[in-house]
Amino acid sequence: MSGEPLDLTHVKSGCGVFGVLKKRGAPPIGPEVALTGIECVRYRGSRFGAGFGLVRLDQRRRRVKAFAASKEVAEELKEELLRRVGNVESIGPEYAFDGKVYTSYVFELVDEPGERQLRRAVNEVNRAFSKPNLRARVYSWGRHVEVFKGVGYPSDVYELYSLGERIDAADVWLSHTRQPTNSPGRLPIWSHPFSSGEWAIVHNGDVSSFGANMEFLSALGVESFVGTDSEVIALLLDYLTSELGLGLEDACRALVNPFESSGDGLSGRLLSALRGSQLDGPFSIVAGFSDGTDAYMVVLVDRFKFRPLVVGEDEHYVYAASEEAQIRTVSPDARVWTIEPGGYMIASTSKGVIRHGRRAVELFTRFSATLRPPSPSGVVIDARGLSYPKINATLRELAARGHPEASLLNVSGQRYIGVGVDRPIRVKVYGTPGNCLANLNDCVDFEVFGSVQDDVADVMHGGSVVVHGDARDVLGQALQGGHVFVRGNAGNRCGIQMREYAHKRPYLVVGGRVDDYLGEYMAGGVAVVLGLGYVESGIVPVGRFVGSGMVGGRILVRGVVPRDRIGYLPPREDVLQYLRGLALDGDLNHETYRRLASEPHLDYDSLRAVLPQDLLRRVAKLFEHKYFRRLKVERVSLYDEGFADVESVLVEFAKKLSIEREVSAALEDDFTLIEPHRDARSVTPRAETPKEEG
Amino acid sequence: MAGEPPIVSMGSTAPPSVDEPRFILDRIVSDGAQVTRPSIDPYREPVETHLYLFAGSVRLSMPVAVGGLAELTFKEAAEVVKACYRMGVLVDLHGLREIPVEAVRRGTHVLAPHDAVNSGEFNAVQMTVRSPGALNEVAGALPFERKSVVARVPPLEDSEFYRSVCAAGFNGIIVDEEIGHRDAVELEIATSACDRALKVPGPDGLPLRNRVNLMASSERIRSSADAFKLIGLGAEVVVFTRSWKVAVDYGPGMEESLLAERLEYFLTGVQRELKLLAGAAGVSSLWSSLTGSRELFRSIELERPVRLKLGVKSAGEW
Repeated sequence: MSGEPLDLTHVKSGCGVFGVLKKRGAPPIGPEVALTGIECVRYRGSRFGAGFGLVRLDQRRRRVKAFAASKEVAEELKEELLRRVGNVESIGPEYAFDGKVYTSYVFELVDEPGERQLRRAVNEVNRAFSKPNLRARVYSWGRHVEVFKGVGYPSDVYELYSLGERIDAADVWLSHTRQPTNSPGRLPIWSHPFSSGEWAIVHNGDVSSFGANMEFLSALGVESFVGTDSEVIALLLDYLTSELGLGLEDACRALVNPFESSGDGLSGRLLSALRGSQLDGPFSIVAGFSDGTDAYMVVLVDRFKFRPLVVGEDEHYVYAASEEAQIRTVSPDARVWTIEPGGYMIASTSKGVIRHGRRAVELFTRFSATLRPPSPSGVVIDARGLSYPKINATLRELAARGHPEASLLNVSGQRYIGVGVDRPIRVKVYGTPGNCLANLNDCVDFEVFGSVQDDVADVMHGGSVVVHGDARDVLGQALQGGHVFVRGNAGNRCGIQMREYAHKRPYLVVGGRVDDYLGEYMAGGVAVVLGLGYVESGIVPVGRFVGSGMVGGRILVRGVVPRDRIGYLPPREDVLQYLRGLALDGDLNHETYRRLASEPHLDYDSLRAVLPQDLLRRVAKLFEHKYFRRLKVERVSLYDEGFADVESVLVEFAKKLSIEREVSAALEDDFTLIEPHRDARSVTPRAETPKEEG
Repeated sequence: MAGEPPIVSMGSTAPPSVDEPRFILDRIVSDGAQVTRPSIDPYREPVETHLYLFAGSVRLSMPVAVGGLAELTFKEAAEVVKACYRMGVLVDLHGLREIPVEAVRRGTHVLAPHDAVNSGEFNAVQMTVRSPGALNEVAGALPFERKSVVARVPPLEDSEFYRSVCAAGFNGIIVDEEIGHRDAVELEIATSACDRALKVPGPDGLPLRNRVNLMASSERIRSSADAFKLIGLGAEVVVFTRSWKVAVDYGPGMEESLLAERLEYFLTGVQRELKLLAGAAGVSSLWSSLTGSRELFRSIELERPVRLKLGVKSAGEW
């Protein structure tokens, strides 16, 4: 059943990114790795743009690369460069003119101008050649960084530049496949990577701060933009680190702009100075950079984690990709983890991984690597190269014929596995299934020996999904029946919009930890996070905004969850300011104010414990609004009355994943129960006796 | 429930679609979130409205100030000062004959006339805001570190003028439409002109604009939508001088505590509306992503010369 050509092009998706960095002493990376890493998510892109970027530390002449409308324009461009930066040698077009509007021309700089002088020259040249019509555009001018991009799929661009013959190796490779949304894709100027100085970036997302970022850059002298949001990212990184002399980490924090409430952001002073350089809206960015002595790969994700991004590491290399299947394709046994929302990863050739992009880093790969799966059983299907419609048609047929079990081997990124299979069958999955596994599932029991990606078990009504590795973002969205068990960790927005009916109650159990927005908008069912291996080390196994907008169901997290991770609170600084005002007014005694100000978590309940009713009523306006539902947070034991169903599900979870010992030990611990308050409408006390102040 | 934004439909009931457009602001519309740039639900997820003024020394909860206090009684003005402080917004005492003692201890959030009023050189009224000694203590119990001097200027289109204000060491500029001048232009144009005039590298290499805070003040600022658009044209703080009084139903003899309570709810409502507007545009940080971000807006039936001055594209323009 194998050997059919991969046919996934009709699956439309966001852009795809890939990056790989060589660690010290490792063999250099050839361009074919960058191609393989991006071609396996070909369906994330389109024929409207792809590209490759490299960083290499070996010394050579600086190259200015430009798309030009004709040979004459290229000559003109050379003259302009000559006038501004000294001796320039034209080494001709990189590929034969093939009827496309622009061709890439390369100029080598014989004399090394100062970097600032060159940056200014590129800026001026790009402005001069963009008006009234675009005639030429410099898109890469690094000494260590070089970009190859065009219109087409990654394999088309790879061939266009004969990359396999042109470049033997580099320290960092980036690759990108594009699904244009906010600018056209008919010209190569809009393809990724975007580059400025010694930076090149590939981006998946749509930056809503684009206008503010352009304003910031224009204030620093940037005069010409191609008009796509991604270009500003490369410019910002270059200008912040080179022109303004910001350190790499501060530049990352400036762009990512962590929420004020996370405590990870820049100071008010730096934010004021750099206002306009922060990125907003969705982004997953992989960047390559060189400071002249080391080669870096930098990964940035937005604070809502609106776009997928996983990173991985093996003995020789560090990887970054939109999907885990990409990393597994080039390194089957790599340790793979995710960046937390608003986080960044930094790795360099000489230092390896410098920042992992997540706290509690020591535990994140406990579950995923070196799994020893049981042998396949039932009808065995080699899924290598099979498209998902073929896989699903096969499963459907097997189920219809009454086969109880099937095993899918060599699964690598195929999406929608199991969709449309309408009779019961057990399906064992070996490899890395793509997004949307078991969506709308009603009766199929899946067991995955590996990790799963985004959007698993969305709108599942019945059956089960058992994952022996990790799961990524948006696991079990609108889950409304059946069981979803994950041995390892899960990502952002797990169990959002879960719901239940009279005869159906879904259970979602995660053995490790989850990121932000667990159970957001949850209306029913049960979500459990066990934090195995985390709680023992004092690590809270959930991110922030747990149960935000929750109206029903139950969330159970082993151990104590700090109140500031539950729901969505007004900014602590706003609440403190109000209390400070009350203290100045003489309405609140200073001692009480100081005590509240020193509390690590300032939520409504901590105010309620100290403030008299009239003051509480006044502060409540910061917490309450018409969609507000008060959450009840309690410490419970699962042996208490009312948790028998959860306990039996956890016993089944332990059995399926062969971790009975760990789970039974965990069951002895207290859990934090989060559910909507019965009188959830309001936080304002109405008929209660006020507590005495102080 | 007080302080709640009204529920509206998908379609706009605002000018220019339904109401007659009266100002430039009425012809500017927000270019909302798209499929690939999702909107944000500010009731369940963070949309940050806070900002810092004066090189990070003062934190405001939202880009809003309350002004137009001249007609208030001394006691009423004192209550407004206190309410604004609690809500973390600036209060603008311009025009008030006597400064309430409450304002002195809340100096971080008070725009007060400068000790030595010097309106000659820039045709500007100087105002000050003071920096606190330490942010987490009860202000007033502590000495202030320094004063930030703010220039109150008439709306002009003259970039040299704004640059010279900046060069003279002012930490902020209030473009005030109620200050008469023979060359005065619309607030929208002046705000944009000032913002753009300062978009040049300063002596430290950083944008000059990031050393100075820009505020826009006018009696005709009606709503959070007006404020949202003025922020998009470059203002960091928008001063409501009249509409808040309409909203709280201000009239002579009003009970001071009622005035304060209603003003707090008004500000809560404005903050929620700003979050909804930002969320609808896919923006989660007003200060950094919206200020001067003309790309988030489009204009409807605005003449080309005005569009160019504002830097706002026409509807449908890529």
